[in-house]
Amino acid sequence: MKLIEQGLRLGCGALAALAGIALLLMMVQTVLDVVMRNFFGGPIEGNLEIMSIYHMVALVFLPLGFVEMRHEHISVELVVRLFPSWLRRATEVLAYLVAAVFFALLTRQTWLDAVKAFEIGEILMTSMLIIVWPAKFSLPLGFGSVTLACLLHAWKAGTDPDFDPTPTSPDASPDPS
Amino acid sequence: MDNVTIGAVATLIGLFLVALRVQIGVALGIVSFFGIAAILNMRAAWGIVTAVPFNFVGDWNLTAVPMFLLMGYVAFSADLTSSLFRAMRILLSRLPGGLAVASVGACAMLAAASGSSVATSAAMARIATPEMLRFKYDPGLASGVIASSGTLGSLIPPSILMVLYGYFAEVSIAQLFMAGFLPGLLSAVLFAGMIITRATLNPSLAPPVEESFSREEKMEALREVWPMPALILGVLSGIFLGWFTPTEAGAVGALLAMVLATVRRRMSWAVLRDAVTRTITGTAGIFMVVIGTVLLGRLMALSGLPNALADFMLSWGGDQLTAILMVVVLYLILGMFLDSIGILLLTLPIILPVTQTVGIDLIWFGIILIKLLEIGLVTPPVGLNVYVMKGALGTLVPLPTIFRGVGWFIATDVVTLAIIIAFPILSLWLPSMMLQ
Repeated sequence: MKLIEQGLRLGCGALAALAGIALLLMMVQTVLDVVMRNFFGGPIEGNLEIMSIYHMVALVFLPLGFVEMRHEHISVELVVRLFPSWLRRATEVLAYLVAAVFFALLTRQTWLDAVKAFEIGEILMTSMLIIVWPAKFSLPLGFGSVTLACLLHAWKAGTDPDFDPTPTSPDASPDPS
Repeated sequence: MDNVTIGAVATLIGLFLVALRVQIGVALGIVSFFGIAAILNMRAAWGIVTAVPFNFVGDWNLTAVPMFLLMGYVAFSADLTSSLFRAMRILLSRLPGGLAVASVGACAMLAAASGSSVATSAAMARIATPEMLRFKYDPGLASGVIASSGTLGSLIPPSILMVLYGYFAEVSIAQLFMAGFLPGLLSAVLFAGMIITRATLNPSLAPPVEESFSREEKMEALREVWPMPALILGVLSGIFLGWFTPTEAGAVGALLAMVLATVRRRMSWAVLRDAVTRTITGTAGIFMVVIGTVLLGRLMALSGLPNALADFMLSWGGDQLTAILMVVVLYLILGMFLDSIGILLLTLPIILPVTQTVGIDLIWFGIILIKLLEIGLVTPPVGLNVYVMKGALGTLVPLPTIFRGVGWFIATDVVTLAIIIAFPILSLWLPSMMLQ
């Protein structure tokens, strides 16, 4: 189990690093666009489309698993806190399983969608042609990683009495480096 | 079951799942999926959950969210912020309750530049509250002022809540930014006025601080403090003068924050890495809720529930003020349990069609909503900012004391809210200037 967890953490971290690169590229390309428009008469062709389709999609979906590993998905704790501890653990497991089912459905659907886009070689026609399909693989990657992370957390919530599903828990970032 | 009932049942089940600690985005998404399947069929439901995430996120306008987050986190990680309180203190310490007034000013500026109420309160709790306690300030005041003033950033532009609201309500984000400026300023001024009045009437709340600063110290403070105002002014004036759009402003602001951090010799690999990690975590978290909201919006449109609610309200008389007051009550209740982005996104698919039916100005309405969300951040029992304060302060001030201290600020905020509702011109004057 420990090994699975470390592997998952590593994989999620790598996807998050890609998202970080997309974030910085987005900043640089937007500023370039502003500079070009104000001083050189026109924006860069296709820049907006690349940022929307590639950078934004990568930035939002690739880190989903990473965010779950850090327990930073947005949820409400108030009611659960009032439960006796056995009931709280049961709802925690249930909540993770519901999330895992939802994300698994999304993984399957977006994977089929990405494969279809690949097979027809989906492109976007604006002022220039932009290949869309590689961006679509960001979704099954992100949803797949968050499905696995939710299953891991369901398992931990069920077996470890000290499991703490909040962003401040030691489980969120065991390696603070 | 008719469609309206399906919509209502799905919404209730969604809220129930949220209460059981299911992630908000997942809870909304899953009930929308089954709701759409019940109204149309499974095929349509599959089609919508497949298409929405990619088509919705791949939208240029929403890039403003991660960019503004990045700008704020760079400013925090590079510690451009800690000198604000010192500078404000040097300038304002002679006033009654001067340290608390200085905290309001520093918090307002910090929250505006960072777009994060929580991050502002956490940072200022460590800097300002211990100072106020050292000078024998009332612990409720010393902690309440930080928890409350941290919320000011949602109204003072740039603000991520405004970007999201503008996107969903289809109103100009630039106009929203300008509209929020005066109400935000008013909130801060009323906070300061309330503190000064209370400290004058009861000096034991905030004993006068015997501090004098030389001219050099004052100049030094100004030199320390310029990056944050420069950042805010740079971003806002660029939008106002039309050099860049509010969407692009986030990216310009993020780069500007990095440049300022470099000039102040605070930029490093660790700072960049920390800011980027926080930004992608925040972005992915927000957008999961956004995707759930969009799915819920589709279900709402199919079910006709918002129209039924609007008809119901119109049958009640349905003037604008009634509609606004109902939203005020709804938000104050939800504000006790949910954080601001959650409330905003959860309710917009339902209340926007209603407000359009009643004919409320959507810019003004947005400012009212955001003020309500600010209040919701400090109302018990959830009051996110209060818990953040508690976390940052440790055992220094007990939780009931912080809530007691916040009470005065909530009362002041209610006055501000009444003024915003009574005088729409306060919100709409600056945007109208911009059009000309």
